[in-house]
Amino acid sequence: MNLIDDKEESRRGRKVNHLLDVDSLSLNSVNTIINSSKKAKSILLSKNKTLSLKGKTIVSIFFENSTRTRVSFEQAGKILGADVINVNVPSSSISKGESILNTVKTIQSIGMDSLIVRHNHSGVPYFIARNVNVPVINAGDGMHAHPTQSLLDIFTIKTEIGDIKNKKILIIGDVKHSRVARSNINLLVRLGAKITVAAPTTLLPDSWIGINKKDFKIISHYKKMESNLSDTDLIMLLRVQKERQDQGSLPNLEEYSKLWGLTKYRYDTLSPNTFIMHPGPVNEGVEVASELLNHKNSLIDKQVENGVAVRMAVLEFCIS
Amino acid sequence: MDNKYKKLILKGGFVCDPFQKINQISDIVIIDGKITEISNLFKDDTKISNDFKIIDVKGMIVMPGLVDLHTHLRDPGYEWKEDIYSGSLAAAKGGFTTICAMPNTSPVPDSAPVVRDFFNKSKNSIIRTLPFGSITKGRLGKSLSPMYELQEAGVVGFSDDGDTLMDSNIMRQALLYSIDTGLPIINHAEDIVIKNNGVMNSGLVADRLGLKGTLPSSEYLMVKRDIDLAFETGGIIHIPHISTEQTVSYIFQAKDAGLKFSSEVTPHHLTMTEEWVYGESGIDPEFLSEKSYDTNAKVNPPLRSHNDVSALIQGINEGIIDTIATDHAPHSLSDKECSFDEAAPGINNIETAFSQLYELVKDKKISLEKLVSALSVNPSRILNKEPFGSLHLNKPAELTIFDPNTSWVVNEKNLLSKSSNTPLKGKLLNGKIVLTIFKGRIVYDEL
Repeated sequence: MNLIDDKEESRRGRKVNHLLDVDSLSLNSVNTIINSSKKAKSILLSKNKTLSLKGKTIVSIFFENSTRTRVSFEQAGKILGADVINVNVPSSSISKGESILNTVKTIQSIGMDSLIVRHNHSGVPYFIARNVNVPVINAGDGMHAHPTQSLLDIFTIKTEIGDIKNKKILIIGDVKHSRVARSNINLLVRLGAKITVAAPTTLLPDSWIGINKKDFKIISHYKKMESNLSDTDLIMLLRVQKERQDQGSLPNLEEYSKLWGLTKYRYDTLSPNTFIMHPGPVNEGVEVASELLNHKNSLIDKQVENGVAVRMAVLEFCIS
Repeated sequence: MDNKYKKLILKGGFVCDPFQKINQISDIVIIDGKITEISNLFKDDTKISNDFKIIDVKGMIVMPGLVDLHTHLRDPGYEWKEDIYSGSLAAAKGGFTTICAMPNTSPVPDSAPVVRDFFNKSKNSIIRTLPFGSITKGRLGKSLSPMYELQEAGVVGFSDDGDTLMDSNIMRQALLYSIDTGLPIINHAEDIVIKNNGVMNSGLVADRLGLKGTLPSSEYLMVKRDIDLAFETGGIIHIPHISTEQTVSYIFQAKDAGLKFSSEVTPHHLTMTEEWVYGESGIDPEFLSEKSYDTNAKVNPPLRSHNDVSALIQGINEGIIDTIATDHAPHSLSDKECSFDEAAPGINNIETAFSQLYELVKDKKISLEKLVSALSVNPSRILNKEPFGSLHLNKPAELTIFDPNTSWVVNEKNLLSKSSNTPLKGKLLNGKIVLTIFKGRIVYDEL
């Protein structure tokens, strides 16, 4: 079955069905993936397996450390009956100076049906996609994109909160360096969410500073963020990387936590139906108070659980 | 055609020679390699004696051999990317008869023997190939190279190439030395602290691609420092590859205030924007495709915005920027087949430069005379020698001919450079250099 609609295929003008970012997915395709994620989730809950990708070899190559995304993809592939090979990069030839291209071409010659890539440099999955003839799935590239995280966030919102159109979503944190924020903003805006981004100016992308984006609102002072909290359906938190401190973007994590963290006090002033999401891993007590992690409105565990279902849908979408 | 023609007539071309202020259709007579006449005498071919070879260049542009103040020849040390010979072939194909090699070689030309080796190897060059020496020992920015020794060995100026001389005191000493040597100091115009490992222009495109941006201030701050130091010392400074509107307007103010210095802009900064990193010929795509992150569009300073391009064009038109220099930077495939962050910066462009720039003439953004001046008389003056590439009578012919009525597709097969790292790969270019003559000898010929 061809899951890509005609318009999209003619726009893309290509035969290989990569997932490099959500921007190249039409809303039809997003719907297709969300719907198959629902089916995948029921398979997952029933503890059964399917054979839809039996005989297929999926290679996942992570040039950057990851536990949840890598395990999530591996589990998704296995439930679909595929053989999943994890290439452990730090111990492989890359550390001996072999280029990304050589490694990927070697793996291609050995044989694979799809390649899952994570790299700490933006654009690497695009570069690999230019050089291989199997679908490349971006599992996170530098500061650029994290399409499966975005799709699982959309799926989680749809199943736990409801329709995304006109939902008021507040994204708090380091949008400048966040691939999760980039993908999510793209897709959520297209799905009709009302987005507000809150971050200190040092953690805003250069081109956003001092301007108001037409698609969403930007807040760069914590007091204004506080006054916007009450009018929010969902708060999406972003991880603060400790290295931002060394780069001078943050004086220290304590100050960040004080000004931008979702504290118990702040949360208690909100409407009782305000949901909390975080792509993980969480810096407890920095982005969000520890006691809120297990709050009934926290969807953080659901996000991880849904991750497997959505990645099953993505693998089927790209490979079959 | 080779050099067997003792007597040659280039007939009916549009002659543009800013050295002699010639701008008209003329015939050029070359006898024994020397130009003996530029006139309209030969309306009737039958009156020309039989021993003349006549080349019809009607509709084409005849101009002095072009002069490039900023070329990377990678020789010695990186000859798999380019060498003096292959670089000279590429330059001749691009219409250049004088090129100046940047000193980011291994070893660095920071002593006379390295410069002498360069001149020895340059005997293979089919055009005039001149070396820059390094400002500092090993281009490390710590202590000055022996500038007199290098001058006596024949360097035409000093630069640490892509490594900015951040130490203001050493820069000041270098400028003081330049008063005595009379040779220009060329310092890479990027403050590396504020550049902060940026890999492309800071702005919407970088933010969309998740790439680290280089702010215009990184260039502006360094240009301002260097011009101020040159003013204070009276030293000779040439500002390389200007890329931003802010810098153009600062240079305008400084020149207006009577400060003496020269500057250059590259063909790519005059014709391409940051959108080229999307890999779709400068188009801003609805969504990114696998063509995105085109490492061939990575260069220092980075390709900038449309506003910057307009300001740079205006800078050439109004004489604010003196010269166009290629910053031809050959790189092998493996230097570019990697992540955008890791890719070597630089564009291979000496063969495509004039075709790219002529588009600006066709679009009436720059006059032909201004363009040719920025590529001949102006850089020649900065080198402070006898005119290079002129059409003066009784001098060995040093000229090039551009045919605007032809087109070509850029690819690794037709580039004479050893490398082909250009975002124009696979693209159709209008107009082509078809003949280049250096010291009376034909060094490139497609006629």
